[in-house]
Amino acid sequence: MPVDHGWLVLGAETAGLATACAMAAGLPLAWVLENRQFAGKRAVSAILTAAIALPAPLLIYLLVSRSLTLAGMWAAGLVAVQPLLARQMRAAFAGVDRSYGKAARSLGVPERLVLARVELPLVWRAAAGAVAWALARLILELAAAVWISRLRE
Amino acid sequence: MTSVRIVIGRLDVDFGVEPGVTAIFGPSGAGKSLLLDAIAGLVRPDSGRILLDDAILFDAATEVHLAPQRRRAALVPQGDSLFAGMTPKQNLMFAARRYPRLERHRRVAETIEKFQLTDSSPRLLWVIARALVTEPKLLLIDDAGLDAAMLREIRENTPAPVLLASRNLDLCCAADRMMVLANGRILQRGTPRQIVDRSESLEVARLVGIANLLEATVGALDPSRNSSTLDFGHFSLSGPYFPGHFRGDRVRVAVAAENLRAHPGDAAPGPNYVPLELVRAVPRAQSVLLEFSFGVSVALSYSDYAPRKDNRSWLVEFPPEALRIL
Repeated sequence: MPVDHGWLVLGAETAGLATACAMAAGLPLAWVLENRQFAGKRAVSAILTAAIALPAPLLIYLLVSRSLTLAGMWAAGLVAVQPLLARQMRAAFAGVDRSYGKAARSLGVPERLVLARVELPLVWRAAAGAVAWALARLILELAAAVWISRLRE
Repeated sequence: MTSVRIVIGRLDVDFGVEPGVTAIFGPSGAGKSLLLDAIAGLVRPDSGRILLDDAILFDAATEVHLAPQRRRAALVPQGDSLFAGMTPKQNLMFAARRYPRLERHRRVAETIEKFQLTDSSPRLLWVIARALVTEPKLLLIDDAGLDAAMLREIRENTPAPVLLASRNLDLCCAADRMMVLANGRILQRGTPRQIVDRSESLEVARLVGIANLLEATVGALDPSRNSSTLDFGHFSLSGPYFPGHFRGDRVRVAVAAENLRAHPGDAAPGPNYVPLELVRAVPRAQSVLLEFSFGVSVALSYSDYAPRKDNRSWLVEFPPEALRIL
């Protein structure tokens, strides 16, 4: 009897998309939180911290109690890993020697390049680790949700 | 005109920047790095004004605070700041990215040639070259482990004024001008020679390592003969007339160890020769520091010290012109 791995593939695809989106938003957010002073910075930090407590119950609500949709899965995945990714990347940026950024800015390097060309190469290992961890966790959670959903059908 | 007048917390400075190298000398925590960061635009001062070639970089009154990218004040920070993921040459290309491609290549090649940079060159020299490839109007160097030879190369290769913050007195003495910064305030400004030889306060004298800071009482003052007598308790010395002091004043006399002379005990004594007991001889990079009784220290070159190292008795000569009251 052929084994249906569709639930796993679907979970992996959705997890990949959610992780990519979470990283795309989380990386600049983490960098801004670590390098910039602005009104509401503490509030954003607090929301990120509070959001870490949300994922498990929220995922259950989004994936199991309601009808399962791709958009719902993606949103749930994003909510689940975004705060953790952002926090991990912020910790990674905090570990970067500030002299690199100082030197770059004084040489006229714009902020986006300070992030992309100067500081990102220093945290890529931390970034890769965070992405791998987020991906693994999401694949498991989302695939399990798809599987449970199919069982209920 | 380039001038800096800023207040940030307890850092409160006001000075002009002239062409050449100006060293900011001071102990750790004096505010040197904060000052350079503020000039570079990385820290916003509480008040004041920063002008660079008459352009306003910061003005608290009109709320002007130019971004660091627009100041053309290149910073060489502490530590190794060559960007990761790029070769040293790519660092220079990256710094020169605002120039068109051909111009960029020309500038980088010229800079590499000027500094005679190779793969084995010190990374700090690459960092300095990277800062200069952008043709800054002001070069800021923060205690980066520079030596006098590198400072000479910088001076030869840029017309921009250089502000060098360092705790290394020997390096600061290789600068054209020097400021002594402590606890956020400039204690003295002048040429390195002036500061080392004519420290204006006890604090500066201590910071620049004047070995002899001796307490004395003014025994006599004679302005007509331009002379004075200073009583140190165990011995007295003749000095020049010290305006602004009175007989009986308790004063602190500063004498650099390099300005005293040590003679063998059997030498014919002259004026201001004092017999002192040698406590120990401390070898230094360029000289030997002879520490005598009563806290008197004399610096002797190794060649002068070698024939006298077995002396049992010593006469220390205090040239009157070397005595200064703080």
